[in-house]
Amino acid sequence: MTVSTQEQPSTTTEVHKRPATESDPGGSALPDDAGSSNALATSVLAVALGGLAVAIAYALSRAEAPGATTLYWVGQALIVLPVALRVLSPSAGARERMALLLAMAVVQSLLAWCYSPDQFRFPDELQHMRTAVDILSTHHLFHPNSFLEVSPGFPGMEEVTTAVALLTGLSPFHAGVVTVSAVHLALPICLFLLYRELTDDARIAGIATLIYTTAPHYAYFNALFVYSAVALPFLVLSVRAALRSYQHRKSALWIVLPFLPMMFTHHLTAFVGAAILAAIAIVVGLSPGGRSTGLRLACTTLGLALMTILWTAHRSPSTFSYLAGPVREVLTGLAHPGGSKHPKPIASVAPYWESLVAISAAGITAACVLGGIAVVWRQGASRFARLATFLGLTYPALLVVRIVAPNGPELATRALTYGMLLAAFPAAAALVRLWPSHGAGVRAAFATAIAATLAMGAIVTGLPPSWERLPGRFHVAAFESGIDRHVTAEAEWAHDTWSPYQRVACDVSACSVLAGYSRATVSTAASPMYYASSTAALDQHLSALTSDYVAVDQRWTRQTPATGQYFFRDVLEVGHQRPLASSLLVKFDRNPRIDRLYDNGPIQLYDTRRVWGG
Amino acid sequence: MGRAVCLVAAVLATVAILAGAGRPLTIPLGAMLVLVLPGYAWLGAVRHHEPQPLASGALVVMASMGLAIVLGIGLNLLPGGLTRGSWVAGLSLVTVAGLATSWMRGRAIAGPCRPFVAFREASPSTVLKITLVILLVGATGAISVASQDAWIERQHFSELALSRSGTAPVVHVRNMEGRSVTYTVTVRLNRQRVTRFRVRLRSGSRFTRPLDAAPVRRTGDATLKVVLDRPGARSPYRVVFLRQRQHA
Repeated sequence: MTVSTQEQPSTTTEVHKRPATESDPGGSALPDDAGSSNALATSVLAVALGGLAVAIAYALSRAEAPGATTLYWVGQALIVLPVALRVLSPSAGARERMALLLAMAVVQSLLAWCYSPDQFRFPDELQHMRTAVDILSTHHLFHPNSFLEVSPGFPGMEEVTTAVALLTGLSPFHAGVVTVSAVHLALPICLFLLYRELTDDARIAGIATLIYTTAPHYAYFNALFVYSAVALPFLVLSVRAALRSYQHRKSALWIVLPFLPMMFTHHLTAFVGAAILAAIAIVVGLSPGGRSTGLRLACTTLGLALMTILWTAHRSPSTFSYLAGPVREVLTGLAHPGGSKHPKPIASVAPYWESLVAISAAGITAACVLGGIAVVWRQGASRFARLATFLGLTYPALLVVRIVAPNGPELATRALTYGMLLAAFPAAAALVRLWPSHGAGVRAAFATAIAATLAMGAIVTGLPPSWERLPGRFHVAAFESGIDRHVTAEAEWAHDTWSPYQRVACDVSACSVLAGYSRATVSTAASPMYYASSTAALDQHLSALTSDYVAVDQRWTRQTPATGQYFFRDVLEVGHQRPLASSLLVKFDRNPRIDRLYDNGPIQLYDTRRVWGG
Repeated sequence: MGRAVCLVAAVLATVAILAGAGRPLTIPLGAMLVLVLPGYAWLGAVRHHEPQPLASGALVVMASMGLAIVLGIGLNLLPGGLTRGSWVAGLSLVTVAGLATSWMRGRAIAGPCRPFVAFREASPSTVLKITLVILLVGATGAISVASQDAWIERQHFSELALSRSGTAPVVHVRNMEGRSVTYTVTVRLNRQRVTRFRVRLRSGSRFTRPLDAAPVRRTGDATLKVVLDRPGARSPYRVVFLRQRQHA
């Protein structure tokens, strides 16, 4: 293993003259020969076949035909295994590693689109679609979005999406797909470049990138139309610029260039970015010859953090309370460990083997991180590299959060998007020790099996959850699977008939589509109204909500909600053990001041304005 | 050469988009103007050299996006805001500014042809595999679109709605049954039938009809009820109603 052993930062002239090392025989400047191109093409062909297999699995699932689940896992294996084998291998060159990681990202982006190729269905996507639609309608930014209040204050993703839509003539949906696909493809390359700054070794950089791709949200959630996905490559480039300021004596001001668009795109990524840059400033300051660079980095980071705070306070002050909630949960959980109090969805209990895989993957990753820190220290690497590996301890810390915080699993899964950035490097060092450059056979198989386990762990702990991992089956009040043709038709009618900002009460799926596409203002406090058992109580709740419309889905009386709650901020905190009683829905037909304006079978829309005098 | 190619592409994109060219032109040129050209020009200007084309490509895309994001914040300050014209003008100006900066600094910009040269030099076996990859990606997309369309088409239902146009209610029917259907629409005021008519709709089509003002028979609350029936479905198939006060 060849983690950089030099004690002084390299000069600029050495940037393009990295020596060919034992684990990177091609170096970074020598062309690959026809043989390695052919091997690369074979691996990419296998990845593409895997993508096709998963798409066929989706098609079988939609047709309710057998074999979908088996074909899905076969496809995922074809996507991951060839990439893992070659990236882990000592004989692959830098170009091949980058190309394979890119091929995997291409297929993952493609499959995220294949899951729902006609429209966005995930609630977060629809929240951002609302901001994009507002920009296209008003031609200005920062228009209030009642669906996700903080979104308009960080309009970077929607700016690029609306620019693509306006200049190409594509629909907002297709423009959004183009935008997030472009960043998802750029991300593994940016990660590779980041880890190349920590080590001269392309193999370690490639393996670290591969390990990052096993973060739970990498393959799917971070390929969706969500603002954190677009901000992430800018975070990586900011951290890379910070490392280059030490390694190659570049100005710390280069950090500003990627940090600014990140600050305009996603609040949490910007704050986390400032924290990571501060940690790097400390590491640099403690490294040989890095005191003045560390000080400059610290000052730059402080300035960027202040800018972020000022921008947030000016454009979206509610962001502070929005982010404070999860932080409070974590602190409460650490102070009073008591497990999750969040409702467990009845229909979403994953198979037992998936839980085993998830636990194994977490344990293996933690072991690799800790082992990698020990390896780097014992190998006599530079102090900078040794100190940098300590940042990987964020991974075990996040495992603690997962266990003790009330909403630990979701919080930790989202936080791992950032935590894995720091944990991947030491974990890669451990895997390289496991499969050294002269090793083959059993060691190669073992290292590949570890990578495959981590990848499978990412699938079972990430999104989509097991009960909607394959599309096609409708679930009430779910994520993508809660939006079928009935729900879409309801939103189309609302879009054609309602003026913007009509206030509507609905379940989580219908609200997502109504707010996203019809620019409605959805209620997040409507559940007591639905549970009211008398006309008087119904009138009282409607007067308090001042809802213009109420949506009802008769399927609530036949299914429990897949996510545990029918409505946003459902007052029934312990979750629904049984479907809703049909008597709760009949009250809307019996109220003399409520009109039924729409009926498509399971879904009815009621006009409730006469109840409260609207 | 790279600078000239970039300038020509920016000019072409600007002209095509502002002239309202068709989507076969505006899709690639517009996407290039947002996602490629600004970053390509400015990375050349600051001479951020990456030996690997993949690395250069990723940095070009991210630099273009970053420039577009910051530009958009600025365009928002204009009275017209973020329109097609302001985006085209802004992105073109940013691109030209990058090219001018690289020219003034005496920086050469690498041409974009390296990946294509590498492809041309690949062995026949490699070319075949790459072609197969492209076909597989296309098949993946086609299968997904086709299966999603089929899944949507299997969800058969009809839609009945009421809206108001002035004071008169308007009834809307939409056929999503997957085949032509003859519907029966019955309109009642309180319990008395006011009108009944049949309408035959092809699958996917809509029907809209204003309802004549119902004759006033008495004062007090009245319920205007519209019932939609179709052959083979239990009656009433769909129901909507308006409850309103009637005046003498």
